[in-house]
Amino acid sequence: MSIVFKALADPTRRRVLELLKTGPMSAGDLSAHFDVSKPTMSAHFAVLREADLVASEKIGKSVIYQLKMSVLEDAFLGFAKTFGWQLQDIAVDAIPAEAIKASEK
Amino acid sequence: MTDPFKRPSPVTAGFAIILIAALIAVILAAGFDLIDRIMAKRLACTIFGLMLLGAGNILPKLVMPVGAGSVGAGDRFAGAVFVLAGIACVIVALFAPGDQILLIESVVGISAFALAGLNWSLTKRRILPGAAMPGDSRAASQARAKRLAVILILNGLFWTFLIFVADSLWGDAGARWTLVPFMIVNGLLAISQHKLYRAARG
Repeated sequence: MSIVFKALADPTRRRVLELLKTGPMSAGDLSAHFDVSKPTMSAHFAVLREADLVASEKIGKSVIYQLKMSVLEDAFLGFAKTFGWQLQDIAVDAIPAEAIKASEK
Repeated sequence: MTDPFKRPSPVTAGFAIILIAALIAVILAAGFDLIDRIMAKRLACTIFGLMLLGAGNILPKLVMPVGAGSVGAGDRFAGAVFVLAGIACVIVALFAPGDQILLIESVVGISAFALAGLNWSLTKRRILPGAAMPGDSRAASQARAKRLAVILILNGLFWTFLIFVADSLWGDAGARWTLVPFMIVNGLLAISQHKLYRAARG
């Protein structure tokens, strides 16, 4: 469960989950909503996949993400959003390089 | 890519096993007069509420492949309704007057199913352009099999609530007759489940 809390602690990842509530989206479409580099977005996606909050599928040249959250995890997301919950110790810089590499494969 | 259709966590499976074991224990305890009828009703209805809560909680996590059509919004709504109804059922089981537990719990449960069913029927499937995954692919079969496992539990709870209502309104005969369609529907779902698992194994 701690990995879920870590994933929800970042506002960018929370925004990604909010965007996916409208339906499945490609990595490119999701990235277009953020002013961050591609490797950084890939790292965020890796964290969300690791926490099992999103499912990813490769279709053609695109990677499609869809939401995969239980009701409890959805409630945690609402809680984190309401209270602006953020943990400094798991900023993107702290994401292991292997996770970023794995997400780019 | 991560596998979106991996096995459920041991916590989920453990929760389900504990609830089923607890229900069997309550039935046996009542059968051997170790607990009175009211206490048996309270305990059994608490377990049914927890089952509804657990099944509702996990439902939105059982996603289908994108090509098979996303019903995420419908699942999230249904999941939330079942979780809230499950909490309400537990409260009813613990605090309602002993002779009215079954009826009140059934009304709460059936209302939740009606609300979720109505919303599901209105939810449109979203299929992304280019995401042409065949409906009979192995991934789709795996995802459907997992969803059907939870739907079997939900179906069992739905008919349990109907049987409770029939029992409250028409007595034992009503409850016995309600068992017949339950067994037919559950049998058909179980056969579908078996076929899907065979297809998923490839």
